[in-house]
Amino acid sequence: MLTAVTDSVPDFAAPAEAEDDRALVAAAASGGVAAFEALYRRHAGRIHGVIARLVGHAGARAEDLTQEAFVRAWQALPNFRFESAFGTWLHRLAVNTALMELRGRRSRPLEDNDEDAFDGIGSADSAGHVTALSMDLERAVATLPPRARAVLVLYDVEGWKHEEIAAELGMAVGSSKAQLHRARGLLRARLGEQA
Amino acid sequence: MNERELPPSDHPPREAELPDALRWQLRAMRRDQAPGADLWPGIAARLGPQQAAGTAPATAVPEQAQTAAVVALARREGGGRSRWMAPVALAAGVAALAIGIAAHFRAADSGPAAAGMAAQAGAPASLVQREAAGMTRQYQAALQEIAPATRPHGELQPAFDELDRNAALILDALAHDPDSRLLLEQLRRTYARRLALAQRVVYT
Repeated sequence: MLTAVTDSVPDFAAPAEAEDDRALVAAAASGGVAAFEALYRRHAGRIHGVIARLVGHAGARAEDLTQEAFVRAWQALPNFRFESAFGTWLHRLAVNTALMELRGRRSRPLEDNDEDAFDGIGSADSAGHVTALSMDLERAVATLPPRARAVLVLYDVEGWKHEEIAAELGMAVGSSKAQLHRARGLLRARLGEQA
Repeated sequence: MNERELPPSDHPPREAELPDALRWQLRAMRRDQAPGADLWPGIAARLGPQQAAGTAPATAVPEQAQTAAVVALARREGGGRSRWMAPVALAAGVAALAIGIAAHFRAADSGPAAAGMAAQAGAPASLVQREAAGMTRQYQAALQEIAPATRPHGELQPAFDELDRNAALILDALAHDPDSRLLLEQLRRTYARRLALAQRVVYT
């Protein structure tokens, strides 16, 4: 049986860091660009990390989306009410940004068969990045179809729940579970191929 | 947390289960990864002026000037403009106050009001308390300017009293719960209503 290693969405900020974030967030929300740069310096690695995992380590695309996430954070900061730690809020915003394309893909013919969509992405950006990954597991995850990869990353790596994933991706909870099942099967198959 | 899988019909359920080692390896993938290049210049180039909470665009106008704008607006509208403009002026005044308060939300404040609240709580003033103290001072300044122009409250007096009592209760609650953004927001709304009511008296 599966062992429970999935917990709720983690609160990324340590207490001291969260307290430091508060002052920076307050300053940035009132237009303090220097404070926002400090927030960027503090959180860029974490945000770029989750985006890179979600898009399959497609280097330039992950960086573009990271930039987009921080711009969106700047715009949304005045309405941030510290209902969660800033790091947690920013992480969710980054995931949302990375998944924009996936949500848009729902209305396209490739909705349930995004293998082809992945092929396009891979040929565009993977030559210098995906093949350069040193770990077999990361490479295997990166080569999963986008929607399946997103669900697997959010569930098995980031620790989200199916309800949260479903809401973020605009799908039914059952679809999230089915995508996870599919992703795990593909992952095991690809790891088996590499072995 | 075990979850019930909804596997495709052509796959047996166990096929997608992961060994514990693999699950932990996946979890270990959750780590920071710095971008290959410094993205800040590109981000900074795209940052527009910050927006105030809600939808009203914030400006770089100092908070004193924002307070003065509220007061001047109340005087001007109360003094000569026809009454049909009152709702518009009222809305504008409250909106301006909201912007001013929003600016105060972010201003570090160590003035006497904040110190008083800190002393009441027996601890250094929290960010929320400092914001509340600054908001209170701004509210009082705006109200003081409007009050001389107001007539006796009459039938509105109970509403004034109730709002004043609410504000006092919220400030007291903030002394015991110094990090409560909810209380701060309630205080902001109470002050906004109290000021709006005072402006309403001016117009009537």
